[in-house]
Amino acid sequence: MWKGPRGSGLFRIYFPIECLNRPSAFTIGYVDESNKWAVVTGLLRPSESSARDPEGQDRGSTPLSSLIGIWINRDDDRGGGGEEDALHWTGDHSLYSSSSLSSSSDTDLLCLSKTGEVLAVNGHPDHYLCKGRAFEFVIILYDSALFLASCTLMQLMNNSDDDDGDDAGDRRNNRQQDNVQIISGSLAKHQTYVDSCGSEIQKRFAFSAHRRRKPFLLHVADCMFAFPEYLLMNLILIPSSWLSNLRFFQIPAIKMMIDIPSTLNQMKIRYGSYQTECLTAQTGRHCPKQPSTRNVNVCCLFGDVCLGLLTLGFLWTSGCIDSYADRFIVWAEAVAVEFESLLHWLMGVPAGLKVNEPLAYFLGHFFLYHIFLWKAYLRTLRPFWSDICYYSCLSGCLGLTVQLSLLQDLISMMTIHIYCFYVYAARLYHLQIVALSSLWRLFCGKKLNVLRKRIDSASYDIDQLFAGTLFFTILLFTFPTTTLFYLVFAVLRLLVLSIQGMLSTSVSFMNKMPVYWFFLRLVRPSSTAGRLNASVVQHEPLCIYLQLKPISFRELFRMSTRNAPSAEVLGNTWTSLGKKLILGELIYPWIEPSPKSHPS
Amino acid sequence: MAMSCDRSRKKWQKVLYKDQGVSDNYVDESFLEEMKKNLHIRTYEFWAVVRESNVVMHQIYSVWIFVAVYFHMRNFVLTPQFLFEMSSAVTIVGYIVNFVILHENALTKSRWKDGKTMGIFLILGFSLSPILMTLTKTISTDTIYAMTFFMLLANLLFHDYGTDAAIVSQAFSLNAAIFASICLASRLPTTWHAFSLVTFAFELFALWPILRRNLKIHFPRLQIILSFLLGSVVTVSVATVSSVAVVVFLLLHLFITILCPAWLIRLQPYKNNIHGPWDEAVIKQ
Repeated sequence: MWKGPRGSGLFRIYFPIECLNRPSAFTIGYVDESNKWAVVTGLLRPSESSARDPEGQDRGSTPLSSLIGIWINRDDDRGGGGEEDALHWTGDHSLYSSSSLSSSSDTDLLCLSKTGEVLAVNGHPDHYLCKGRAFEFVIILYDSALFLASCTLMQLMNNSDDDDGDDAGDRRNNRQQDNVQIISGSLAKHQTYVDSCGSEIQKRFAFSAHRRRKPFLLHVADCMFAFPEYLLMNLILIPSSWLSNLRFFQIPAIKMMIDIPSTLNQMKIRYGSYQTECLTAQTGRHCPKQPSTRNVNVCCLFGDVCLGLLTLGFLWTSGCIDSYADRFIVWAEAVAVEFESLLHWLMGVPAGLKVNEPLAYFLGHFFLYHIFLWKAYLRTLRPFWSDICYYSCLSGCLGLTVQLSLLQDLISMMTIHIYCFYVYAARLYHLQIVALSSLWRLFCGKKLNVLRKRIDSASYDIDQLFAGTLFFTILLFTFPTTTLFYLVFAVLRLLVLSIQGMLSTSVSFMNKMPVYWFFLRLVRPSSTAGRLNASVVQHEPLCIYLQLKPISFRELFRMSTRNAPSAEVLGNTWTSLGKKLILGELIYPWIEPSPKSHPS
Repeated sequence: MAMSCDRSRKKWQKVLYKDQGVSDNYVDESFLEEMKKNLHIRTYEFWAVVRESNVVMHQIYSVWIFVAVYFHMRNFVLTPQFLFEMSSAVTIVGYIVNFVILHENALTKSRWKDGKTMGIFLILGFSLSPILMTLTKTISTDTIYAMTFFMLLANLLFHDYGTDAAIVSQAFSLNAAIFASICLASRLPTTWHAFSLVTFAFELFALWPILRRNLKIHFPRLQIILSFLLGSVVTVSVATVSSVAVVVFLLLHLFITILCPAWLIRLQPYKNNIHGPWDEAVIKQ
């Protein structure tokens, strides 16, 4: 039992707004003395008969330990001043002499009245002494129905934990979090209390903030999803996730083969990891307010598959596959011809730059031979191309994301020659840069001390100096040529990468699209309430109305894409890109860098 | 009152462990008595300085000879075979002279090392000559000449003339000279030209200074004769290329040999080096 508000500091009293019109009754709720708050979750009418059988009272009901005070509605016929009311109530009812209350000697009761008077009243069972004491308080009105109905509230508050904002935002978030946690925690405790109460006490509730049954819509959703979910899981998902967990696929070489083509990667993400999600959803008793994660994911998957089937149907019926496929092959061959002319231009005098002729000649012919091979490959592919395109649209059955990732793979296969050229040029350039920097140090008569990581002066032999200078001169004069080839191919490669990047961004966006939440938000906004709005209802005494509004679509979207690793984590910022370009290191934006282990 | 008079009458001593009633940075009239001016001054004698200045002139002769040879090769006056044979013969003679001067007893190791140096050099030079030839084909001649000029200047600046100045970097000067030779060699028409020029440059800039140093140590009087010889060779070879260059060369020669020593001696009276107890301590071994 609490001893009433002690000490200084603002005492927060949370009161359900639905109770404002109820008649006077005992208030049920929870208090926390140290953190200075009290939540009212229900109103209990006093019992009619005065003499009660103590045994009967004890039997089958939890002690009224959650009784915290009295609610006095002035419109009631029995009325008077604050203290008199309290006295009247505490002295009149035998409830007061129930077992739980008599065990403690000095208990305080919180008396709230509709006029806004709040008193902490000290009542003793034997003496019926009433001593009112005023204290600093603020009444916060809240919508218990909305708090109960919202599925997204706790998730939102948990997610705002991870946000790092400025100080004001943090403080605000913490306070909001505080309020929400207090209210939600008290409501949850109240729920268990009501469930364990006897029916007699349940009948006496004038108001109780608990959910009798699951919201109808969620119930309907569950039923709707049950059958397809059963089908999906048993026919497709469990076998596919069993497949992906096979030891065979854990071999690093095979794993690499699966990770690199984005189609297989996407399929693995979508269908391979489903089993673990199902397991975690089943083992833990998820909060009854939350929709099961299964529903959310199944919804997303369905949206995906529907879109894919739509695209498939459109592509098959409109018959534009053939024309597009033909045009694509013609375009690929034209690109190869353009490439040849580009190389011839580079071998000549490109843009007036002074290129070293023999080297440019050698490099140009080397790449020209590759183009020749590429054209031969295109020619062999041509008869089968439109068939390949036609039947690859079938992958729309698995979802639009799979189709898009298939397109991404096709693009990367079509531009594999650009990739090869880029790799050759980048390696050559990098080699030349490293050699040049080392030979420049020799030119100046210095040497890199690898142990101390500094430049020391060194004494070289004459033949070492001679050979070093010779190579330095050669590399220096061929440097512009290599740079030119490298830059041209790097630009082309970046172009292709940007196209692929757009595709993969849209795929990952669709992976996480919160279809279920949007649906809920549209149909039943109260279940996606997350925004808190505090407005002052009355200044004297201070009374604040904490409103719960449905969260915006943007916030919903941000909530569901929270888990994507940011660009900084992956190390793919613009500065790192620029550095890699200048040094000639290869750019792999889709492979996440493994964390480097320091040998210390 | 009496006590303070007493104190001021006592002479101020330059110690800090006594409380002399004055602040720590006080100095009296005996300040700067310990200063000495121009302690280590050397008196120069004109002709001695002129004799010593030929160290710089020898290196300048090398540079001019090299440039003259290049121009001769370009004008097809000098054939690469002749140059190669001549320079090889002179190198072998010089090697034997060096060998005799030094009275070396431990022969086999250094001879093997020298043989290795020669072998590496010949192989490298010969195999890389085709590449060297076409290295700067697309770069304009003026750029090449400018680069060569700066590289040879660097060679002169950083060369080791026998002093221990901080600017001396033997490796850098040799590398600069070889870089210059490669720049010029790439302007020549055939591979043979390039190879012979690079060989000649290597022998002139890498091997000749070693012999020169040894000669100076053992036969100091030979320097003047050598200077006259080389000076006349340079004059003759440069004169056949261009007359302006000869005039420039002679003027330069005069400047460095006569004018600079005179200038140095003229400036000696203005020397004002201050030494005192504030100098850094030099530990005598």
